[in-house]
Amino acid sequence: MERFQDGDSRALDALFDRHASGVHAFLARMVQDPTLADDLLQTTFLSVVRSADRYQRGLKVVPWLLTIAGNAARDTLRRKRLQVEVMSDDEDGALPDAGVEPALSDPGQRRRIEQAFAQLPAQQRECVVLHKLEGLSFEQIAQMLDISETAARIRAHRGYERLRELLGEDVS
Amino acid sequence: MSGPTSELPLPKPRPPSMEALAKARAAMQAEAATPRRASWKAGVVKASGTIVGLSLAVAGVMLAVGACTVDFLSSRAVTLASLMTVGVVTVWASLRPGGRVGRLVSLGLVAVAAVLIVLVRGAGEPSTQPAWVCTASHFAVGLAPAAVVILLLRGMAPNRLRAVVAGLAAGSTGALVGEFACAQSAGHVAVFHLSAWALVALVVTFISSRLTPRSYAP
Repeated sequence: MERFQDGDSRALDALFDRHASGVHAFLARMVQDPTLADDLLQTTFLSVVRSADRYQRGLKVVPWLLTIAGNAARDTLRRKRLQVEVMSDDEDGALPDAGVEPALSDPGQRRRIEQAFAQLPAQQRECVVLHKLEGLSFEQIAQMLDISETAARIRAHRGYERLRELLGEDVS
Repeated sequence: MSGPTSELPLPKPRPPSMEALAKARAAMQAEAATPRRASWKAGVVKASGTIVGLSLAVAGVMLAVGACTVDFLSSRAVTLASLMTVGVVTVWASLRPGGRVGRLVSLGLVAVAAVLIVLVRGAGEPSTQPAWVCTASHFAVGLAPAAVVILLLRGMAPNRLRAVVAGLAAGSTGALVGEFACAQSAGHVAVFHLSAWALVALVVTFISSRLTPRSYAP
């Protein structure tokens, strides 16, 4: 990013090659819509070019990119009043205890977790994704979302609680 | 770019199609080929210049037509300096990348300046003009800097606190004009001057929330 700020246009391609897939995965989890994630990927990298001067040297690039992607996703969801559609679960099979990590190889369990995840409010989902999947600290998340560290913790905590509730309700 | 995924076993989302990647890359390269835009620091200079320049222009006109005197302006030196400082600091706080704490601090500065311009006014002098003229004129003067900060806010991610602070920066222009032109009481300032200031901030916040940003960078 610093090389691009210095005028090296090839650095932009390198940035895209390295991070586009990761940004897209984050966006797809945020908006739960692969097509919209495609559009937001473009919006994210357009923002990178347009606001290169807003990148502060020394900052990690990945949190900065995810901040832009998250901002774009939240604003787009807000504007479109997008309601995330959750696929109906036709299966009646019992779920394991939410506290027990289900086997990744079980497609039914996977899908139920994914559906529960999709039901989280966007703010909670974002904090869970950033914390658990992207491995960012609450301090980093707070900086990214322009909120206090406590607020970031609370959003993630509520997200986890909601996930447990959703998966627990399925069990009963 | 990957993080720990073991504790939340979500399946990996579908990767972007080659077509989507190519489209995003092409758009990015086309944007990069266009001339570079002004930096956020240039935006701070532009907005601050509009606020201070417009205020000084109004003061100059008033001096020229004899609507106020140098002695009168000198007597308001503390509040004028405070408001100009607040205007510049709030512009900087609203446009700089990140900096939530800076924006909260600038809100505190606005509050201090608002209290100051009320407290130093005292009993004041009666005016032949209706009180609402101050509100209307301060609001009108604040519209030009409001337009400038709204355009600048489009270059970054939407953020309500940022927009409020930018709106207060624009509104400080009207408050400055009030110090040049108005000799009425503290109560008048509290009601008719501060309401114009708040109104400009509200307008900036509302309009900027409706516009689609050109960038989502923090």
